[in-house]
Amino acid sequence: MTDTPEFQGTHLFDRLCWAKENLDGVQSDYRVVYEDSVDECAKILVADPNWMACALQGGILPPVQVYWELAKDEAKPDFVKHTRGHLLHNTEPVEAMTEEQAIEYLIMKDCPQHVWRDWDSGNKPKLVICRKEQLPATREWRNAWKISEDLATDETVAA
Amino acid sequence: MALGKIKADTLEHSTAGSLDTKFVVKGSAKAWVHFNQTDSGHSADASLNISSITDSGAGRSDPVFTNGFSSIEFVAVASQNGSTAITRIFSGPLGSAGGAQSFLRFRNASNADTDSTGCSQACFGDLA
Repeated sequence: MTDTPEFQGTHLFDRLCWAKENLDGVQSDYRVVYEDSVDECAKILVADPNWMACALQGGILPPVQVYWELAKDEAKPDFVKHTRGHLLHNTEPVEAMTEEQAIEYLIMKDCPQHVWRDWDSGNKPKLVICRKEQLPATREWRNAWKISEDLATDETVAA
Repeated sequence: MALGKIKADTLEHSTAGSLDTKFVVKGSAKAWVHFNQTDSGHSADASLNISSITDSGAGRSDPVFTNGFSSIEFVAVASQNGSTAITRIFSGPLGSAGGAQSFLRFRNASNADTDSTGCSQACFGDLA
């Protein structure tokens, strides 16, 4: 296995370029199905293979809390431009994750916070992690897909 | 990083003139992705600086960056080569303020969002 250089203090983009040259992409079979609006169809988040390789390798990605800090800055009414991007580059990178831990990290990074922080408070889950095979086999009626009301872990979750 | 470095502010050709290297540094794509919307997997087959793609419906995809842009003022250009039915492509920053995410929309002549088998997007700008 390729050793990760000491990356704390290295620009995150440079780390990603290193990873693209040195790590093979990892296609995950996990999919994150979520609903962030009752008026819209279910959305499906898919991990990028190069990103997943970084997560499994360790020592490359910043802690997910760094992204939350940047999101807080963006939410301020007077936000124009990021001034704390250094958090991405200077915070100690996270250790290697399992694929399952990486998906949890990705949910907390890329799904809307109101979805994952409150995913199980309504009449049905707003967010489900499933395998690719559990999604409908074709994209027919894609814009009507919703998380199934009768959710079972061994059945199709969006139909 | 244990890498060699060549430092230069200018590249000069013997006859064709010179180029300030800041154009290379500032002008290169900082994120790009290629993927297939019709595959229910919806996963990137080639990319740089992308953490995930959200399948938001037929013809609708939202890539998220690992190293986001410093503001919403970045450029996202897109193309597709998978469907002759698609007549319009929309691409740009997604969200109200930050530069964390972009969007892609493909539409047919009836103004309906339509999947493409070959979606490409490249983003240019200043990183956070």
